[in-house]
Amino acid sequence: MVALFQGATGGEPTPDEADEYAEVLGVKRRIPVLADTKVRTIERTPYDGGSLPGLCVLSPEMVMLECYDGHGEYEKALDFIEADAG
Amino acid sequence: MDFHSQYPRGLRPLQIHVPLELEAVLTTWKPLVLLLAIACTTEGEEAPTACDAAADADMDGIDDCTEDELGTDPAAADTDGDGFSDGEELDCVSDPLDDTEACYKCGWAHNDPGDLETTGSGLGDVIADINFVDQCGEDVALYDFAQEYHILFMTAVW
Repeated sequence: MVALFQGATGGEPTPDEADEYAEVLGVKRRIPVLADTKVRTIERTPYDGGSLPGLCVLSPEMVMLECYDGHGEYEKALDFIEADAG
Repeated sequence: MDFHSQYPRGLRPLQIHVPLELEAVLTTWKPLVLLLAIACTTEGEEAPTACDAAADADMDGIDDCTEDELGTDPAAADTDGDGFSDGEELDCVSDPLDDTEACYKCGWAHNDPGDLETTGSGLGDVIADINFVDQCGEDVALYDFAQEYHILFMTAVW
């Protein structure tokens, strides 16, 4: 799932921006593209928004198992899930 | 041959004397007594009606027997009146008896198990139930994505 914590102008993202971003990604409704209109992801995860993007692996019980930041970490996140799921 | 002749002394069968009047009563009235007994034991109990598993009276996609089990109204396609039929709500994992819960327009399931609580904002913590607006313009709760692994990819539009 994709969470937008900042809009195009640097402020809070809007719901329209979530829709447009989903179009840009080409995912339509296949994965959630979410506007974090109250900017909670920065407050409630280890990610501080410094280096884009941030990723956190969530377990089925919504536990933050691992977090990364910067490009190129997606594969690591997938490998982590594979290892954790057994 | 009389009785005593038929059964020599010492070998007589056990005789139970039943008055003729009682015997008549038992013979005549026994069926009625049984019927009364059955009526008394079932008094106050509704006779069970068999549901028809092949029927779907309200055409909501759920057969009438399953509706009985779920507690939904087999005569009403949308029991809780939230705009989604009972069948649609089952498909999207929404409670068909709760009008405050309905299917997400984007099709996400309501997977919140109901007992999650945040424990903090660090690694190893249960994340908070953050509310977002999804690409369909609808408020969604993070916990509704529970029961599966997710990569929460956080970024900016620019």
